[in-house]
Amino acid sequence: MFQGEAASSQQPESSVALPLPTVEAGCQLGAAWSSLGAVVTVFKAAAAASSRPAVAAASSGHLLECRWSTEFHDCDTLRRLAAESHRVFLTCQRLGDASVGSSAETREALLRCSKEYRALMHDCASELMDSAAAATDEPEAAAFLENQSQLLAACQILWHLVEILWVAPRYQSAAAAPQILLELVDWARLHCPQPDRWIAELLESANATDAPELHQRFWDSLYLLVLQGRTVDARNLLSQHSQAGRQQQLKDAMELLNMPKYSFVRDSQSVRKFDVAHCLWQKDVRVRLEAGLFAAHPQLELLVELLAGDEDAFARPEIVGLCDSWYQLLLARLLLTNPTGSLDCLGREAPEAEALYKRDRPSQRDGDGDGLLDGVLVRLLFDGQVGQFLAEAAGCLGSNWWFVAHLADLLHHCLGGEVGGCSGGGFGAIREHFLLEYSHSMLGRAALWQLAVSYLDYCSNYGRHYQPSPHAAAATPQEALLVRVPPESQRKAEQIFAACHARGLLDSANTVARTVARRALDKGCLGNALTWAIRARDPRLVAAIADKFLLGAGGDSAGLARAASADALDCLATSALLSNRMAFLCQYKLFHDRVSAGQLAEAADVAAQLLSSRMIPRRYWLSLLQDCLPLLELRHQAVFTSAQLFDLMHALAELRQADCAPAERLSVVQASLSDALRRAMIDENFHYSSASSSLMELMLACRFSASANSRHRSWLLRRVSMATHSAGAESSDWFRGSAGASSRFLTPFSSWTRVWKLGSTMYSMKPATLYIDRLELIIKSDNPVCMDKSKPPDTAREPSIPAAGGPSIPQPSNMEVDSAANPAETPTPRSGASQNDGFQVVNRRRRDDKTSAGSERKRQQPDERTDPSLDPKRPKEANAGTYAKVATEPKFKICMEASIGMIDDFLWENDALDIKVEAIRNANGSVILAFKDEAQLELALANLVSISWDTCTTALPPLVVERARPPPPCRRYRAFYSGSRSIEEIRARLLSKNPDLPQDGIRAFKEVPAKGAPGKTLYMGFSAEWEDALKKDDFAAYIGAWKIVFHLLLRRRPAGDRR
Amino acid sequence: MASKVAAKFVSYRVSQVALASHYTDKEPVVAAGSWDEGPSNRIQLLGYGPELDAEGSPQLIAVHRCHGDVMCLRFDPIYQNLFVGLGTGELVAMATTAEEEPGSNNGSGERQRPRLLRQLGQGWRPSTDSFGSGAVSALAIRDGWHALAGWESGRLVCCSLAVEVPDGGCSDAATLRPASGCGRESVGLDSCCVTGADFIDQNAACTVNSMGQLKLWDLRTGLGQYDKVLTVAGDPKAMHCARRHPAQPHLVATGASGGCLCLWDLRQEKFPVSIVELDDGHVTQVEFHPVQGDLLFVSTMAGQLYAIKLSDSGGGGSAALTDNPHLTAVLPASQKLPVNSFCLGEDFLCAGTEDELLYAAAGVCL
Repeated sequence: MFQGEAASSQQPESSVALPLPTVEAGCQLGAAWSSLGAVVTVFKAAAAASSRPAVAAASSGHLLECRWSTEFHDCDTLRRLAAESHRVFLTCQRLGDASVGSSAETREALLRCSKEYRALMHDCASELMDSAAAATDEPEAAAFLENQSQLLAACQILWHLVEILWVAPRYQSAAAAPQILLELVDWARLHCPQPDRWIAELLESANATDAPELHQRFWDSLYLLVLQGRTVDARNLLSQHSQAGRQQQLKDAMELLNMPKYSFVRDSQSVRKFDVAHCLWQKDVRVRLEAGLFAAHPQLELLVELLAGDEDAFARPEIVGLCDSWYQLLLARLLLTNPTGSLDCLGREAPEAEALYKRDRPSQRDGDGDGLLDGVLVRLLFDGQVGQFLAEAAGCLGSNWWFVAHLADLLHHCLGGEVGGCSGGGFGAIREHFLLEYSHSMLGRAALWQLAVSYLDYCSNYGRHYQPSPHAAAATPQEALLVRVPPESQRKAEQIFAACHARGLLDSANTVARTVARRALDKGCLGNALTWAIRARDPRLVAAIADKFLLGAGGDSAGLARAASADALDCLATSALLSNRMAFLCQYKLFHDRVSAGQLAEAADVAAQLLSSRMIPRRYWLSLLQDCLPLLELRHQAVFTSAQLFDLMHALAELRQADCAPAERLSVVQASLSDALRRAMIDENFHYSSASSSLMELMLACRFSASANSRHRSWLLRRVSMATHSAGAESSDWFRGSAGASSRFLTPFSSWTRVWKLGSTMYSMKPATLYIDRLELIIKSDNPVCMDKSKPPDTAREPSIPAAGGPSIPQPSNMEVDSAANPAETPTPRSGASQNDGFQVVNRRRRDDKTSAGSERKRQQPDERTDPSLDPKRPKEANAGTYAKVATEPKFKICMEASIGMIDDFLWENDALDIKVEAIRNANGSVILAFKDEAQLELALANLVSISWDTCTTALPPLVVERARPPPPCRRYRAFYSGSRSIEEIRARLLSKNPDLPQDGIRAFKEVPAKGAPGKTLYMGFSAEWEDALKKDDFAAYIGAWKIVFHLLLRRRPAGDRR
Repeated sequence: MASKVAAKFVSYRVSQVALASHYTDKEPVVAAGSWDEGPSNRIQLLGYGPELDAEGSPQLIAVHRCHGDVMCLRFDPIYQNLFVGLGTGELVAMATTAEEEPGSNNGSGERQRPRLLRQLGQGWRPSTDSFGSGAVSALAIRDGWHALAGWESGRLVCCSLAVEVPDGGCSDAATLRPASGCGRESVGLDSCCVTGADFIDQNAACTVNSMGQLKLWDLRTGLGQYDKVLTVAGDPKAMHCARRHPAQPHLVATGASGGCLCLWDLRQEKFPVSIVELDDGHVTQVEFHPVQGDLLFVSTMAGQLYAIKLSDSGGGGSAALTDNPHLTAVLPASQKLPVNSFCLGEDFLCAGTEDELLYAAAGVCL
C-alpha cells in the first residue's frame, strides 16, 4: 500500500491512488526500493517480464516515486523539531554515559533535558498552529499543519505526565508523593484551561451585571478550581459574589477555602505535619458541613462537600460532567481525600474514577476521542507500565517515531533497565527499537542522513552492523545506511567517508570511497577516481585507474608522457604501491620529472629499475626504451651504467622474442643501446668477475648487437671473449653459437685457424676473433726491472719482425690496400700515425734478442729520461700529441697504428718468445689482432702481460687492458699506480733493486699520453704479488690453470700531479 | 572566546555562509545556502541586529530557491554581488543591493546593505567538458569583477561578471563568462577536484585539491600551467580549503583531512611552514581574522570552530603555528555535527552547521 508524497502520515491506513497515466487494467506494475528507506519507485512494467527494473521502467517511460513518513521533509517546523531535539538527545547521551540514573545532578540534568524537549514541542506546536493559520489559501496544508500541531500538543501533555511521574528526581522518595500529586493536579490544570476561560468570561460579564454568581459558569468555575486544588483562586472568585461580604455562609466558605498547602521538603516529617494540618482542616470543614451551615445554599454546600472530600459529591453528575477526563476526576479526588497517599493510589483508584467518568458518557469507549489522550495511555502511566505505555503510544502515533524514541531514550537514562511493563530484552531493547525506527523514518529525505546516522550511534546492538533480530528488521544499520547515501558531490562524499571513519566502519568507508571512485572513473575524472581509490585501498581499482591513464596514453611514447604529466601522480607516496600498474605510472612520471630536471643518472636509474622489475605492462616497454634514447645517445656523458643497460637489453630481448613491437623501432633502440653499453663499460673500467650472470648479459648484448653497428658488436664480442675467458667453460658453448651466428664478421679471417685465444677454455673455439678498435700490446720482458732501460728506441719502429722459426704469415691482400691508402707512409706505422686511416694490416714481431734488448734498454735509460714523451717536466700538451714517442720505448714493444693514429702496444712477458701477431684493421674500423696459428696464440697468451688500446672514439679517454692473475675472492686487484710518489721516484726504486727501499708493489709503469684527453697521463704498473707469478718459468702452464682476468682500469692523472 | 554566541535553527543543512561585507559588523548581513534539500534548496539573506540574541534575530531579508546544492557562496567585497557555485556545476551571480545596475557603485563610497537576492542573467558553466564538470567546489572573488572558480572535475576558470545592458536598460542581462583580461588562458585543468581557491594578489592565485596539493597560478600566463606546486610530505591528504593572510599575501593557510592544518609560506620551495593536527575531523574551512592577522579560525568536520593565535616565530616576520597551539573553541561543546562553513567580520562570526544551525558570535577578537 503506497502513500503518495502529498499524503501525510496521519492516515496510515488509507490507500492512495497512484497517478500512473498509462496504466490500464491488467498491466503489470513493478516497484523498486530506493537505496535509502521510505521510498519506492513504481513503474509500469513492460509486457515481456524483465528481471531488471531499470529496463522495464525505461520501456514504460514513467516512474513514480512514492514516499511516506514525510512529515519531516516538507515542514520547516518539524525539521527544526528534528534538528533541535537531536541536540537535546545528544546531551542526554552524554549524561547517560556518565551514569545511568545515579546521581542527583544527572537526574536534574535529565529533567532539564526533558523540559527542553517539552519546550521544543510546545514551541513547534504553536508555530505549526501559526503556520496553519497563515496558510489560508492551502486548506490541505493548513489541515496538515493543524493536525501536526495538535499531535505535538498531545505529545507534550503525555511527556509532561511522564516527566512528573518518572523523570523528576524525587520519584523514589516517600515525601515526594504529595508533591507529585500536586504536580499532577497542576499538570491536569495546565492542559485543561477551561476554568480560566470561564472566569475570564465571567469577569467580563461581571462588569455588566453586579451579580457574577448569576452567570451560568460561576459555580462551575468554582468547582473546577477546587477540583484543581486552586483554593486561593476559588476564594477570590467567591469573594466576587455579590453577597460575599454579607452572607455568613459565604464568609465561612471563604474561610474554609484556606486549604493547607503542601510544600515539598525532603523528609517525612513535613509529610506528617501536612497530614495533621490537612486532617484538622478537613475535620473543621466536615464539622461545619454537618452542622448544616450551608444547607440553605446547595451550590455552596456542594462546594464544601468537595472540600470535605465527600465521595458522593465527586460522583455527582454536575461534578463529573465538569471534568474533561477521568484522570482529572481521579486527581481531584485524591487531592481532596487522600493528599498524602502513595502513588500506588493512582493505579488503584483509576478504574473507579474511570467508571465514574464513563457512567455519564455512555457513548465514549476506549479508543475514541483524542487518540493519545483518551485515557489508555495515562492509565498505563498511572499503573506504572511505562514500557507498555511506550508501545501503545507508538501504535497510536503510527509512523511518527519521534516521540517514543526520544521519550524512551530519556526514560532509559533516568531509570536504567528497572522499568515495569517491558517484556523481553528490557527497556534498553525497546528504546533501541524506537531509535532504529526513528532513524529509519528519517531516511526518506537525503538531507537527514546525518541525523539518522547520529541516532544509530546510540543503538549499541543493532545500530552499527546487521544482526538478526526481530527489532531490527525494519531498520538499516549504519554500515548499510552510510554506503547508500548518494554521494552526489565530492564534498558530500567526504562527509560520508568521514562519518564512516569516525565510527570505525572502515569497510563502509572503503565501499563509499570505491563508489565515488567508480563514478569518477565513469566520468573520466581520473584524478578524482585515483584519490578515492587510494582511500578505498583498493588495488584492483587503482590498477584499473592506472590502466585508464595508460589507455589514454594509447601505448605510444607521447601518450604515456601525457599520462605521466598528470600531477595527481606526484604525491601518491606509498599509495602508489597499491598496484603495480600505478607504481609504474608514478615511476614513469618520476623518470620524466628527473629528465626534465636534468637529473639524468637518477632518471636512468628509474628507467632501469622499471624495466628490470617487470612491473610495466609489456606494451609500454618499447615506449620507455624509446624515452631512454636521448639519454642513451648522450655522447659526452654515460648516463646509464652497464648494469642498467643490461636491464634494458634484457627487456629489449624479451620484446624481440615476444615479437610484439615493430622491428625497425627495436633496431633503433638496440643500436643506441649497444653503443651506450660500450661507452658505459669503457667509462666504468668494466671488470668481469666470473659471475656468469654478467657474462650472460654481455653475451646477450653481443647477440642483440647483431644488427647494430658492427663496430659496437665487435667491441662487445671482445668483451664477451674476456668474460668467457674469466667465466670458464660453462659459457663457452653459448659463445660459440653466438660467434657462429655472427660469422659474417669473421669471414675475412676465416682462413686463420685460430685468431685469438683467451685461455684454455676457448681452445675449441674456431674461428674466434677478437675485434679491437684500438689495441696496444705491451710486451713485457721477463726481467721487469730492466724492461724500461733495455728499450732501444729504434726497435719499436720496426713495423713487423717476422719470427725466425714461426710460420710465415701470408700477407693478406689488404696490405696493399693499406699501402695504397697511405702511399707516403714509411714502413713504420708509428710515424704516420695520425694519417694512417683506412684499411691496414700490421704485423708485429718482438725482437728475439733478449739480452741485447736488455742491454739496450739499460743503455737507453739516460736517453729515456730525456725522451720528451716520458719527461714528467714536459708540458702536457707536448705529451699529448706525441704518442709516437712511445715507440722509442722497449724494443720488444710492438706498436701498431690504428685509424685515429694512436699506437697500440702489446706487452709480452717473455721477449724471448717468437710471437707473431697481426693487427688487422677491418673495413669497419676495427682492428683485429690475429695470430697465425694456435701455437703462436698460446705462446702469446702465456706471455701476454698487457694490451692497451685506445677506443674508437677519440672523445673517450684511453684505456688500458691488462691480463692479470685473478685476485683472491673478495679482494679487488689493484694493478695501477696509486701512490703519491712521482714516476721518477718509482723508477729510481725499481732500478736500484734495493730491497731495503720500501716496495709499493709497482714494478713497471708506463706513461701513456692520451690523444683525446690532452695532458692526461696514464700510469700503468703491476703489483708485486702477481709479478711474482709472472716471473715463474712455468707460467704458461700455470696460467692454464688460472682464469685470466682482464682488468680495464682507467686512470687519469692523479690529483695534484701537475706534470 | 566570543563574548556572545547566538544560535538559530534554520531548518536546512547550512552548506555555506558568506558575510556581506567586513564593514557592516554592527548589523551584519549573512547569506546562507543549503544543500541536500533537493528542490527546496535555498539561499537566505539574513540580517543580524546589534543584539544577536534578540527576539526575531536574525531577520530573514530575502530568500532565493536554487535548483542545486549551494556549494560555494561568496560576496564580492565591493559591489556586494553574491557569487554562488551550485552542485549542478553552474556558477550564478546575484545582485543583493538596490535595483541599480549590478556592480555599479552609487558613488558615495558607502556600501549598501544587501536587501534582496536577484539572479543576474543565466548561470554559467564550462561547456567544454564532455563528462560534466561536477559541482562547483571552490570559489574566490578578487575585485568585484573577477571570480576564480574550481569544479570537481578539476576545471579551473577565471570568470568575470560582464554587464550587458540592452536597450531596455534591464540589468538582468549581466552574465558570467571567462575573463578576457585574465592572462592568456582563463580556463585551466587541475588533476583532480579543486577544493579551495583564493587570490594571492592581482596576478596570482592559489588552489588546493583533493590530492593534497597547493598550486600557485600566475594569472598573467593564464591557467594553462601552474606556477608551483607545494605538498605535504607523505601520503596524500585531501585539502579542503585555502585562505591567504590578509596582510602577508605569501602566507596561506590550508585545511586538510585528518584535522591537518597547514601554514604555507609561498616563498618556500615545497613544504609547509607548520603543520598542526587539530582533531580527527577534517578541516572544512580556514579564515584569517580580517584585521587581526595573527588570529586564525578553523572549522572542522568534528563540529568545532577554533580560534588559533599564531606566533611570530616564522622566518621573515611571518606568522607560524606553534607545535601545540592553544585552541580556543568558539562554538558550544554541544556542537557535534560538522561545521560546514563560517564567515568572519571584524567582530562578528557566523557559522553554518550540518545540523541546521546558524551560529552568530560577537566579540571574536582575542
